[in-house]
Amino acid sequence: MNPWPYVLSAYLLTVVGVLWYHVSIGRKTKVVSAQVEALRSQGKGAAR
Amino acid sequence: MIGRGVERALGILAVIGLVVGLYTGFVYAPADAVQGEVQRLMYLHVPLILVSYVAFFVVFVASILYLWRRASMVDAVAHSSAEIGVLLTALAIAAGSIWGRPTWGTWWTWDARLTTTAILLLIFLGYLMLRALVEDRSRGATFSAVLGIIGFLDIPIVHMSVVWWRTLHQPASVLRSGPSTVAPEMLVALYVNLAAFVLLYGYLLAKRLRLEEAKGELDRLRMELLG
Repeated sequence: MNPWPYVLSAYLLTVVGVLWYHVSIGRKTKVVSAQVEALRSQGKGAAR
Repeated sequence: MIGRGVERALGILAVIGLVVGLYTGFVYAPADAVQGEVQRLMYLHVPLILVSYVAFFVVFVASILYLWRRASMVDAVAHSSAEIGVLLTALAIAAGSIWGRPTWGTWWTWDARLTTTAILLLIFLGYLMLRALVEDRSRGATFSAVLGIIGFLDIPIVHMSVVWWRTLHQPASVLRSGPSTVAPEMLVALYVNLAAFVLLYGYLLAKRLRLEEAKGELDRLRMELLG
């Protein structure tokens, strides 16, 4: 039995899983940070 | 919570560690005398599961601290670490299953080690669902802290399952008393990969905590604006 398809698929799956999680956290952080900025500018406008 | 400089440094060190880990795992370490090349999956599967233990240990400690001090910062650490632990456990099970096919002739068997690990994954998936479902943040944090402490108690059972029951899974080769059963070159490759995955965990935790920090700031601003 050729072992390489098994070895490579496990490594590839791990790379995809970690990258997906990494990108997913980055996107969520961007969205929440944009909402924070929007609320901050809204707060400053209300204070004026 | 964790500075961006530290986060970046952890990320760079993790990438370097993983590249060195690939070199040691695929070039430096020899092929196994019995299993051949497929044994190189050990340098992926073992670090994934051991670092998931670390992630759940962090959940355990942070949960105790939360119940004691009620600090939202430690709750954020517990939540973030649990999420990463679930990812690592799922990947460890997948890698183990892929390793099982050419060595045991099956993708999955209800072996004690595999079953207790699957239970560990389900407990912490439940932990994340509990967090998502309970609307009151403080109550959700309390419930999940209790579940985080109970969930961690499965790890000694997972670890000892190969000793307590007759299993298809091999006994512990790293976290064991007595001399190691692994060849020195293989052990070096294993420890390099383990260190790389610890760094990766640290990087992901720092990045995930930045999201929690932004969420906390968003909640604070909303409360402020709504009076």
